[in-house]
Amino acid sequence: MSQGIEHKPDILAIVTTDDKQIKNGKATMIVCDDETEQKKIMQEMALALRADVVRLSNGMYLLVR
Amino acid sequence: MSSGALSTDYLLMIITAILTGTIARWLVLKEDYRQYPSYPNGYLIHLVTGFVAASLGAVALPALLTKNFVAVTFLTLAIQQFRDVRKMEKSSMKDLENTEFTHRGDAYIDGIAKTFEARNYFALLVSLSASIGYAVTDYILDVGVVKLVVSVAVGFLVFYLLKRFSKGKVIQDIATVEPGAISIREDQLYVNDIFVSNLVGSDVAQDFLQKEGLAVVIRPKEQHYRIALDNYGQRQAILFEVTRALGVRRYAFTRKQFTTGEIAIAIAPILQDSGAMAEVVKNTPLLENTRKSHAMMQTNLVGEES
Repeated sequence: MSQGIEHKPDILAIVTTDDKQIKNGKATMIVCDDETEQKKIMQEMALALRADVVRLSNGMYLLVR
Repeated sequence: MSSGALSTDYLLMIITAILTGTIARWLVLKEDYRQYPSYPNGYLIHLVTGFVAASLGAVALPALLTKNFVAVTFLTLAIQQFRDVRKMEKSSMKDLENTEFTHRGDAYIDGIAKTFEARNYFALLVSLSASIGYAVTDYILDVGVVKLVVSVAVGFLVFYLLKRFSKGKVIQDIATVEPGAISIREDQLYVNDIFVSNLVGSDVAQDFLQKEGLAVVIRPKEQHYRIALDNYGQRQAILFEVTRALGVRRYAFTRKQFTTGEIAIAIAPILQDSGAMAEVVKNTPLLENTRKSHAMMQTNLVGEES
């Protein structure tokens, strides 16, 4: 993807297994049943959105571009 | 020299100067690993503008010698033309930004465009000096071959001096470049011990970078060289050159280490050649607008300090 190094990415979607983490925000939030499903959904969405993935220490995946 | 408006002498003077100036432009129109300008259309455009620049330089002296002082004002036309060359290059490269995996960046584009403008001045000054060489020899020794030889020699001497004067530095003049080791720690990408990015959260990305990724670490030779290396435009230019030379399958990262001033570059290239990657980084031009003169900073330009 064509970008400059000073590019500030946007959060496109969040994939989590914990519904308590759902808060307001513009990014789409997807809650999965378990970690296997979470990884699968994250990978599929990353491909569809041509996004990069950040894994937070609480297990949440951010899809950013 | 005869006083006719277009005597054989003047014609020879003009033609020799035009040819010398155009050849000078051709000699600095190099196609290296950066592949810019592209062959053949880019070449043709710049050879023709170089020819026009050389023509303007070549006819300046005959215009003066024939007391056509007003005609010399067309040199202002030359300045305008060269500025247009710079604008043309700039807009052309900016239009192409979105087609590249990594941007050239505004600083690099500005540097390249300025170089193209400056090289038209090469053609003009070389042809002007060639015509001066011809005219001066004509007063001293009216022998056709000698005049031609001196004219060309003076032209190429000026060309050599201009080329030396305008020669820029490259990254290896201010820094050492060594291959770096890519590792993933806690879903974050590291090159040696430099944190580079956390945009590699997926297992696929991590495996891919560990198998296919290449990295280099740039270490400034002196602390003050960090000013140039830390510049966004300079790092963008390095990243652009690396991705352009090796191709890129996915990911192109750069990060600076604040404490040591080291710069890490990591990419997953098409051509797996770490030596070539280091070489490309070493030969990336040091951008004119990021260069700082350390010696100048220590000079007291405004007189005694109070």
